Amino acid sequence: MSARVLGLSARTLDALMPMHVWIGPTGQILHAGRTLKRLPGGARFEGRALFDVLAFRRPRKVRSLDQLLCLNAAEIRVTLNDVPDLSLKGVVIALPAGTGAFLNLSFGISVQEAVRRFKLDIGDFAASDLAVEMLYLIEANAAVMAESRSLNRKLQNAKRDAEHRALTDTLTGLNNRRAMDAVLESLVAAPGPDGFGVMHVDLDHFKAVNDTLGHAAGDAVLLNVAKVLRTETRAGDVVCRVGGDEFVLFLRDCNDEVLLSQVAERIIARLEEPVDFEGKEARISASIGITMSSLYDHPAVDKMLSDVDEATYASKHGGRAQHTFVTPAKANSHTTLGHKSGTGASAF
Amino acid sequence: MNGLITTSLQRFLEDTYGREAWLGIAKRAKVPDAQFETMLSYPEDLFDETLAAASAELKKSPTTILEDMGTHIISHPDLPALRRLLRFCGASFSDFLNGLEDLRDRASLAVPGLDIPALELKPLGGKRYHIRYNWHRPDGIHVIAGILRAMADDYGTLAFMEVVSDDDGQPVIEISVLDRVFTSGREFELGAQA
Repeated sequence: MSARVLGLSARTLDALMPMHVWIGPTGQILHAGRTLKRLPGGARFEGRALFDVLAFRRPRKVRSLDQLLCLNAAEIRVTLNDVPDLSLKGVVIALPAGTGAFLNLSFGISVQEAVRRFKLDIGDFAASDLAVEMLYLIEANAAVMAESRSLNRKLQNAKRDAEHRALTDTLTGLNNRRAMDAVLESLVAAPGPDGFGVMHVDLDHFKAVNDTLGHAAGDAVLLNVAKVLRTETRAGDVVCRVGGDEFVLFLRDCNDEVLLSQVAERIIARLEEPVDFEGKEARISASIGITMSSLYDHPAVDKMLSDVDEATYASKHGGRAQHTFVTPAKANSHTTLGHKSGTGASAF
Repeated sequence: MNGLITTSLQRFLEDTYGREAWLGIAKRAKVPDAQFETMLSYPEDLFDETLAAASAELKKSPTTILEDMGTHIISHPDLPALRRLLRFCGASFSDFLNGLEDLRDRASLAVPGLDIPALELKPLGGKRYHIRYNWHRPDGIHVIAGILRAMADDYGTLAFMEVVSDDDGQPVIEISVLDRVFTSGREFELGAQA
């Protein structure tokens, strides 16, 4: 095999390698590629010593032509002295018989920054260079990411809106306060011939469970409460969780105080059954307030809710674990408090 | 159909004829929430419905709408991405034309799964070319014609183009480049401003 020698003009070299540096036997720059000449200081490269215009970053200690020639074919990192913050990558080739060296450089990963800072153009890159494709990809990627972010933002807002409109309590699956408002409004608008009952269930000692056994135990208790309230009511009744440990029940077609008392007592008894949580017993009870639409000459949402709230308060103050009815007098006035009609025993 | 294409139609209609006109078209075509999303996919029927609704509401032929849409997505200043990405295809309009055959590959590099027409440049001698077109929707050729018209403007090249039938009866875009440098065109800096 014989070595072939190729004679290339500076113009040809520029077309093939627009960022090359041709170094003569004494270490001075014979020719710099046309794109390199567009960089700061590049127009004055030719005729100067290589190590006056650039510094080696990797390997670091290359300061002479001899050291440079030892790097034959190795990957190098350099910076131009006029642009010390922009790293260029490249390769060194030692020319035969001590005639110098050849350096071909590229912007590597900094291509976008370089193009922007030095206002480079498609023509500044060799046709075989992937730099333009890389710039294309960077932009395509940015455009697609922007679209993706915009869609994600919209979906996030939609999710928030959906949650805002949701009618279900996520922990227990019961109706939430928003659902309660809607149900009560429609019941008040059309109470039916027998009217309806409203029961406000406020858990007793729930905070103690949370504080001593932790929130997971609290959640287990709440799930059990939801189960009890569902099973102690009929299919057409509505059970809502309206606060951390507050529940409201709507009992349709019901104007029977005795029946409602029985339901309340059964609920209290079942809620007092200890709940097992990881081998420990969680115990709660409940204070209940009750009202019925039949007590009112003109049932109104706000009035019924504030009455039933006061009745619950009376149960709490009466020693908890009991239920209190709103009186007919209270239902049609603004002054008196409901009377106690039950005294559930409590172990607490 | 990729949401990029359906959204392009919406953007064109909304930017050109106004929000009210778009809402009327979207209602007629039953576009969900009157909004296409670029990152989602839509049934092709919905694109057809939207195009038909636009044609009826605006009293313009579907081919005119498609061609104007092609021009719009390149020339509207609020939609710089596509124009810039196409400018990467070549330094001059003739380089750009010669690079059209790579367009499909470029598109799928940018958006994996984006299906766009296959184009083939056939020089006819002088400064005349035929661009052959192959895609599942024959009417997409009008969008391409609109895009090419806008790109010629963008490069500052005076060119005449028309959708015609070639000798085999296939629809092609015939391009006559009248003047390679007509105006200085729109500025294109390779490095995008961040």
